[in-house]
Amino acid sequence: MSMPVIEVEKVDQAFRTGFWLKKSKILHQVDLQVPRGEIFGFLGANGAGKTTLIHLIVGLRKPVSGSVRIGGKDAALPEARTLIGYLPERPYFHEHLTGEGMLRYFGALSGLRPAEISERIAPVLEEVGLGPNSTRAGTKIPRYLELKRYSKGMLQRIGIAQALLHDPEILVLDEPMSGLDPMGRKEIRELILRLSKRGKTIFFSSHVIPDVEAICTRVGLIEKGRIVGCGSISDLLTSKHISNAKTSRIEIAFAGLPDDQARSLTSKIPEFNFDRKIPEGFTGTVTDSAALQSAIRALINLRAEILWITPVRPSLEDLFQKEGAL
Amino acid sequence: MTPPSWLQSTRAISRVTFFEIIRDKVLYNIVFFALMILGMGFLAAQMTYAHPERIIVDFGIAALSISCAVIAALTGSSLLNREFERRTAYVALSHPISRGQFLLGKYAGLAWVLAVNWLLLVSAFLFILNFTADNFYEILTPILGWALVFALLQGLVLASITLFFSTFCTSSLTFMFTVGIYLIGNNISEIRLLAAHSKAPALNTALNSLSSILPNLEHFNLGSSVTYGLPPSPGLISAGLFYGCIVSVIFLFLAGLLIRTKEV
Repeated sequence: MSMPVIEVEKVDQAFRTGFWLKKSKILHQVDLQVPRGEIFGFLGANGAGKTTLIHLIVGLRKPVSGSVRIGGKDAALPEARTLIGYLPERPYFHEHLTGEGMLRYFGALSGLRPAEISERIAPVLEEVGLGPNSTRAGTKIPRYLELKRYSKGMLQRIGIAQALLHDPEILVLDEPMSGLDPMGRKEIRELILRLSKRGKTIFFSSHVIPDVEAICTRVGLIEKGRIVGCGSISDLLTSKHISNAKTSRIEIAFAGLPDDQARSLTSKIPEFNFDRKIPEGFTGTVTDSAALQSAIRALINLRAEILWITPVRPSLEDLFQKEGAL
Repeated sequence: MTPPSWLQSTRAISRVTFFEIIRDKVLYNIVFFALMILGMGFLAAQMTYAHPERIIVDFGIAALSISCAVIAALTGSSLLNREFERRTAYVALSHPISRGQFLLGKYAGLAWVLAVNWLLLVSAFLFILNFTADNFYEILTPILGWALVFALLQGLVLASITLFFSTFCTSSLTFMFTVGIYLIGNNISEIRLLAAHSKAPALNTALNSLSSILPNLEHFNLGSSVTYGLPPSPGLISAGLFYGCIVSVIFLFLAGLLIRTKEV
């Protein structure tokens, strides 16, 4: 693993809530390292503490205890934030600004000179799909349009554009695909992959598992403010975290049997589980190759037609369900 | 990449803040109200036998002072809270700027709005005065100029007080506290007089403490000097300017300390 650029060590975070300002703990001893150049997916249910940790990483809050370092610098220092481009969960921007006005504003806050901002605006907008080439004929070019006229997808893109404007080393994207249509999600996924190829470190949170599974090299799982799993997807999927039933399932699809006979196979074939009815016939699962042999023999004896046999790869969803149950 | 300088960040934030306030309908209501006061001064002057220009001058200074104060209190009270409630501050503060830089940018934006309002009302005031008074150039004394400048200075001081309260209060409380300070601050000598006449020692101490702690905005009120045509005293003017600057800096400094602890 290369040198980590995001280091979170034993972080606790609490908020004061209610009339008596009672402390409510949100994060518990969180440890996390994100190596340079990696796409790191941060998974957790709503309210698990994802955004709170992201706020610590981008320096919006300071931890109650523990440390957060960006490129070796304390995340609370402005110098650490020069390395970061941040897209918030919902892109909250001043609606009266045009796309270009907003980029000029945040460009200046990043320390860019006006000439540098002017130079960067066009390529960055093109990168996120808001350039003149991506605009439909007859519609106003987004950079000259007020943000209040932007669609949800356009706001998400301009949000990513402002995060990219100063060419940061690290991108922190909080739910970058939330509220986007399937095409928009695909385009954002492709954009993240392109940025990763250019050497950017990308830390993005999501509660949509397939999005994370599709592009991330490593993931962290957070549940009720605690990190419950962290590592490469393959490591996590083969780890003891997932029950055996999930890791080594084999799906058998078959046809040619009456409905009631197919459903009764669970009791007749050892370790065979009837799964569901499909248009072509039925599916069932077994857990190991010995059970597979006996299931195939039994199905042939019953004169069933075997349609396919597929090993079922465990998914992050299985892992997440398992951890979520903790 | 290095973090932006204070000048660079203040310029960027103040520009966005200025246009944000300019779009607020409340601002236009305040300006309209101030123009109405000026108009009322014009009408009142028509019904006066001697020195109608004095009525216009009194109404003009009052309109300027009140509109600057109301803009500072009303638009200033929601300036920071709106940024945090709408979470527009989140993206700004995730950039390499300190919260102090952010606060100064907001103050500078509000100061620009006050200055533009001041310019607009001073132009309207001089236009009406020129239209009404026969001796226009005689009325344009240095003390009148300083009285108008001090109305703006009072607005700037109130803007810093508003931002100070808004770092730890809701918008409505901030507005109420600022208006309270405006009313008390313009009547400090009355409070001291009340304390002197008071027979209860506790009340005497309380009123004297209040008049010592709260900013004395009477330093910015040159209305009586203008009415009696007194020449501006350099000591009085420089003391007023210095007092305005120092009070603004103190409140902005305190606001800068408090905003660092504000939870997002």
